[in-house]
Amino acid sequence: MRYIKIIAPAVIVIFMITLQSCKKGFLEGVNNDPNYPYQVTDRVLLPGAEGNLAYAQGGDMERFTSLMVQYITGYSRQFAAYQVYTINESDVNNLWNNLYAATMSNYKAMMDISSKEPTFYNTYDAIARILMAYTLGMTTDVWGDLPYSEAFQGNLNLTPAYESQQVIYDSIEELLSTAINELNAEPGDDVDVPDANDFIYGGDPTQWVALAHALKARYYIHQTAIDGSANGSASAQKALDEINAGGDIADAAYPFSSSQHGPWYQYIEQRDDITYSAEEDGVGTTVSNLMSSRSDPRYGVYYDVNGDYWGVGYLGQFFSGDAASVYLMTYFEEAFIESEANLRLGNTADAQTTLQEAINASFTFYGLNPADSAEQAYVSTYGVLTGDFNSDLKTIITEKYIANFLHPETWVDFRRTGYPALVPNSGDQIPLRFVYPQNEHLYNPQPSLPSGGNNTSSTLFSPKLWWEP
Amino acid sequence: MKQAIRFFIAVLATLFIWQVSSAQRTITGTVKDEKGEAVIGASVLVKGTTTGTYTDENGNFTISAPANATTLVFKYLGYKAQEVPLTASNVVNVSLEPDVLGLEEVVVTAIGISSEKKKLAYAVQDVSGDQVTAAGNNNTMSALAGKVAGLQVISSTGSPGASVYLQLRGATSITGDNTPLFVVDGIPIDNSYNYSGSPNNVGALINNNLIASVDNSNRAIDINPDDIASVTVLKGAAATALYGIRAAHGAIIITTKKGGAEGAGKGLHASYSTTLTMENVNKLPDLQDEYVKGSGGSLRSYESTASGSWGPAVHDANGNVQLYWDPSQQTDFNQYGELVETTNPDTFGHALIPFTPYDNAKQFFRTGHTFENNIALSGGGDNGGFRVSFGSLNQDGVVPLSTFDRYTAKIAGQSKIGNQWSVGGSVTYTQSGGTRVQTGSNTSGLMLDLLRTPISFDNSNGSDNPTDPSAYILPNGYPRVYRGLAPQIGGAWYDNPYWTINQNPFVDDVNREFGYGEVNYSPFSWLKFTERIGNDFYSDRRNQHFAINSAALPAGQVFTQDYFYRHVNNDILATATKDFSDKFSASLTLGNNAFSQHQEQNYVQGDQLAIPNFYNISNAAVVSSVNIVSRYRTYAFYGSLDLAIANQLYINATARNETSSTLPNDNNSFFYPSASASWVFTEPLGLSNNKIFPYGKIRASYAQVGSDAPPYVLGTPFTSTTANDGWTTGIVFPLPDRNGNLTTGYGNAANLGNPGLKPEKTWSYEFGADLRFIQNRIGLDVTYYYSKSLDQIVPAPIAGSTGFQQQFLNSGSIENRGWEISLNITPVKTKDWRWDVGINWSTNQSKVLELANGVNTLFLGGFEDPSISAVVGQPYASIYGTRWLRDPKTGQIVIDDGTLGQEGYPVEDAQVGVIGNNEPDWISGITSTLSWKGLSLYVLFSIRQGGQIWDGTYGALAYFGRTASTLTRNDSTIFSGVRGYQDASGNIVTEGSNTVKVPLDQTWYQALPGSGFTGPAEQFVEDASYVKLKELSITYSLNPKWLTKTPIASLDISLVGRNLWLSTNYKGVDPETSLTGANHSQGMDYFNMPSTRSYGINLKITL
Repeated sequence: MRYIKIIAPAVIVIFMITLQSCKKGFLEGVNNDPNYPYQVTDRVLLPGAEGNLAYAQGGDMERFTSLMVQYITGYSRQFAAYQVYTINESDVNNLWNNLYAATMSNYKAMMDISSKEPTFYNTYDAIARILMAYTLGMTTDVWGDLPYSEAFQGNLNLTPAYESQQVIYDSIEELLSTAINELNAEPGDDVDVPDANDFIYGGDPTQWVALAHALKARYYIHQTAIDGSANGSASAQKALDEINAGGDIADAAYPFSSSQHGPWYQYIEQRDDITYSAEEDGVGTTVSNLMSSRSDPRYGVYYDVNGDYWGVGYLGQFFSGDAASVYLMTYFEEAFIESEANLRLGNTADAQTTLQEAINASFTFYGLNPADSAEQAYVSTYGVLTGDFNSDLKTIITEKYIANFLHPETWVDFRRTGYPALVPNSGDQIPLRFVYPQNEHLYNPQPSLPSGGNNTSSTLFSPKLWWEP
Repeated sequence: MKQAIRFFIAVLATLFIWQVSSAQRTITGTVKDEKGEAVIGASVLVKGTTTGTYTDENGNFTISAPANATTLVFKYLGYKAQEVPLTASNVVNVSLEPDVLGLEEVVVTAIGISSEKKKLAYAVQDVSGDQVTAAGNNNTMSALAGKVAGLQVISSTGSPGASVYLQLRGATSITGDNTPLFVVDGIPIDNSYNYSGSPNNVGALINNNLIASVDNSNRAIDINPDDIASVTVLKGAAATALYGIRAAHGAIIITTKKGGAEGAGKGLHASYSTTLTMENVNKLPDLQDEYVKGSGGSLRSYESTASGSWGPAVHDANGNVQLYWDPSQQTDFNQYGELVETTNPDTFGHALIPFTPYDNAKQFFRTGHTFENNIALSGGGDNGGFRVSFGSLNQDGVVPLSTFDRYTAKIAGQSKIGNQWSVGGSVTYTQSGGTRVQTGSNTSGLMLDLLRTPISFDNSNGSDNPTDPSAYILPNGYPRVYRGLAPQIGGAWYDNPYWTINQNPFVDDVNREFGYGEVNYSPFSWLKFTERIGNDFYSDRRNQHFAINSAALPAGQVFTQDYFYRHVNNDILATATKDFSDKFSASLTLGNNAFSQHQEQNYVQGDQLAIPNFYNISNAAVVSSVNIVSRYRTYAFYGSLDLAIANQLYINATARNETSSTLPNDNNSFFYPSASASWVFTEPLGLSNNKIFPYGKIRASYAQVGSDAPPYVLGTPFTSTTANDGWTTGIVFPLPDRNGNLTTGYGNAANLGNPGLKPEKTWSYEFGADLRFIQNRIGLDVTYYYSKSLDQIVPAPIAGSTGFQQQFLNSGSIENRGWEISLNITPVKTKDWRWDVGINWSTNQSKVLELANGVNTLFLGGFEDPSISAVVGQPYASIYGTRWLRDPKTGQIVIDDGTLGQEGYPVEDAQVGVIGNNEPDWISGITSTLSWKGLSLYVLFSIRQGGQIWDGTYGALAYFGRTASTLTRNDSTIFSGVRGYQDASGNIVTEGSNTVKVPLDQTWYQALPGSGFTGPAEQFVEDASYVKLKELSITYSLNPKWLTKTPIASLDISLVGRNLWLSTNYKGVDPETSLTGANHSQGMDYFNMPSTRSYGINLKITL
């Protein structure tokens, strides 16, 4: 009995030690995540990143910028508040996150993968750079100073510093130049090249090179108000050089489909807080009223005049159809840039030729025939320059305003040129920028930005963007 | 059938009633109580052995004791245990003394360890099985409301099977579920609230599956309350430290009924109970019935897409009807034709029908019925016993076609094998589910359309039959909705409630098994080994379809969502107990626990249906599916030491070391110590026989517990791309590429992994006193506690510029402190009369001390505006959103002085902030039981004081001109506040009190800050205080003397009622409500389904 009293605890201790040794095997590998991959390839990153870009642009970005330039009217619920410029920092959180965390971070991931095997994924790398430049440009043109070189680093930097918009523009230029060089120097030893998984150009390097040049032109033309030269001719020359170097672009579009509907379709279907034309709300927007007054042949494309899609006066099927595309850059925009550059350089004749080319290209783009009488009448009435710089600039930008319907570029054009003249919906000024989003304010507060101001108390009017006159 | 049952019972009897012969000495005798009446089912045990028996119907017993037996121990619930030394005589007669103070009552504490109440040094509270089912309650969770001090119970809605949120002593985890662990017979049971809807709604969007969904159950609903013998609520960390991680928020320990147990007596017993109750909606928001569909005071046709009730009044200034139906203008929307506005119907030249308002809610809601039946057979002998039970619950809700059904079967048994071994176990099988109710911010949400519908539109189209298609489908096949012809209004309509219940049903089907098996080996009287293994397994299969032309999904959708859950829990423990002397005894337990959990979710969604009314994935043009597997394991060693000194000082120390699979390998184990002591100070004072103050105990405890991370948050994966913008459902990869072939798309996950996580910690202490006065006619138990949680693993939002949107960080801290008071009084106690009053009162004050660096708010649930958020410096779960601009000097609301062009109206603050809090100041439950002979009246009042709810329902309904408050739409008011504006640099410039009178018209409610959609959320935050008559029962127990000639042992008939009376200032539904179900984001009401009051009859028979 006495022995047992000693043995029993000993048995317990040995048993416990045995149990202890089971622990490792019991827990090993349990926390290995079977649900998600931790290593991926450029091939699967590209389509997702393009899709995110298209949805971010065609969603909040186009809705907010269209509101600013009076392409649309905020009608009810949140959009009724936006209409009078009550836009809080929480209202732009999603857009910022979609651009940074869902879109640009994936271009960065693609560039990181490519940089490990520099010769194997050049095409993917170049496309990632062009899309990064495009997205970064769209982002900086609404927010100004941004994080870029310290951004997208995850745990390595949780509070990326902001860089001035000018530095961001330098980065954009460098991204595009590198991409052009990579694609031009492509020796063809890529182990994987994009094909149908590139929704925009099907992996065609030539088209991407042309787009890269056109984008450089776009960002040069943005700088005309501040480059110090008369009428911005220095920037205009750079833009023209790029257009000449790249040639005509193919429209860069992300197609949606009848199985995965585009953002304007989904917004009308699921929210419908916006109105578009006088036929719908009795008032109309600046653009719809302008087009109506000019009997613009595109009116019937922009708006559902017969009510055979969403209803009378709604956005037309070209924009609001389930499979409507989101356009990154169109050929007609390139032509408008060329026209503006020529005007700024004093080549009024070339400016008029390219302006008419731009308007006609937009007719073609919208499925109209420039040879038809209404189209010809329109061009001969509104596509005419006078030789007076200011009124000609107004003519070009106003035509671009009409043609580039819903595109975020229009708000940039308005802010840098002041055209077309818009009457604010509320107060005495059209907003000049977005407020910084709540999450940046709270989790990456930057009490001072390179350009002055800060990201914790920005408004729709300050700090001013770098390229604003 | 009878034969089969007999055979079944015979088999069970042979299985469990072991006949072991080891007779050395046969002792007989009789056990009587203090009145000399026979005690049936008292236990008789040979001291120091497991040999024992029970007394029979006459109080007689026969026991075979070993030759060396020295003492017999007699025990009976409510009586003091008595030890009788054996003499030469083989006859032992005993008279038991009542245990007036109830100190020898045994409660089950952590890991299934039983302890006498007097030894406990921390707060526990018991609820008997009879109390659980007192008012015919069929949900164990809601049945605990008001019965335990410090337990907050919130039933989401009155829908059949709706979830119930439980919380003990506040929230100790910032993002965790904060609900107590359910333990049934020593085995943890899952009580998850599994959302419905696409798991592709990742990150914060998963929240959409909570705010716009159906009234789901949380899984403790699968426990049949009729199987419960008792519930012990372990409130604090000291009580639960031995359980480790999973009991970090307290534990609900359920002991089920077993056959052959003490008090049950020998032989076979059967019981049957049946309950039939009826339910009605108990409270709806107060709506107007004067203004019809229209805008700006003018009428809109049925086909108009106008959404509001801003049309003309039914009555003119003189109170005469001025609206008529014009039968000549026949419409599919109304059998009587279009409405016309006229004060002189004769001018129409044909007969008009005077308009009478429709009450859509009254027409829609029905009387629900609940029919519950339970049958149980139990038997026992000297060495074991068994119990078999079957339960059925069939419920039809107040919403037509909504149901919840639950069928349970349970078998339990235990047996001794020889003197050293015993075995026990149980298996419960539950099948539950039903047709659920669409609720919340959901265009199929029933309340959404039902309450927004103007009084001029009859959702039912005159039909009393809820399945009549004429109510919800127009002759052209489009849905019949008050906002006009569906194709013309884009997405802006809500489903007619009759459409939803007929065309968009959601059904779930849960099959569940849980149980345990236990072997005890006691080689010596002082040493016992226990091996206990248990499991919980369920599959939860859900199916939802949306018919073509449903508001949210006009192309139609079908989804199936299958949850699969399994856990296995194993404890192996050794307990040594030794009485060293009369004055000193000690008990030591050492154990090991292994817990393994596997969860899986398979979700298949098909969109764009081709063939109407055919709901199969094959009918969908677009199919997407998600498969999520989550595995989790923990491994722990633990020990507990109990010392009892001189019958007055009790000391307990526990330790547990736990290792979790979810933490980094080098930082995955953590240690929980706890120490507690209690002192019966009346013992040294010699008061134990004092008539006034016989018993007083003070107690103190300290504990530290830990917690781990969710699975798979250490690394950063890539996820399949979904793109959306917060307004729309967006796109989901795979998608057709340029050639039309599907291509996958992956991208950075929103969540950034954190390889440096460490365990969370919570430390807490509590002090308490247990005082009994006047023969226990007054008992008072008071506890004060404090807990502080550190290193909380919180999913902190991070700046999007990092490339990610959130990360789990060890950065949160929260504290809770509070008081719990239980007072039990027996004011009247005579031979025939007895009146017991129990009061539970508790208060908890929480405070969020820290979130992540630079983070002052953390979204927990709800909407973008408002949300339920954790806010630093505030009580847990603030209501956070847009608010009025206030003058910082006076706190007065700033009224626009014309600067904004809205002179006289209050101004919205551009900055969001805390606008309310759901934490009650205190909660209380008061029970009163009055009995006279066989008749008893029991009532339970439940009181909540303070705490707020965002009544988004009311805000939205005001927008649509439906609330009673919009009856003043033609009046003007002067907003109280200070005239002023905010200048460009954010300063507030004021100029005296506002005196400008402004109309409270449609513009105010829709376009100005009075809007329920765009105006400050602050104005819809309301006090959620209430007093309700939670439970009532009147029971008549037939005098047993009348039944002696029948096989019936007892027969009780009760009239029962729940939620019979409610007093509250809350303008919406019953303020005991939750939009997000059993989830930590409490305090939201956005078209929540109403609660119900119920009343019925219950009959119990035992044989």
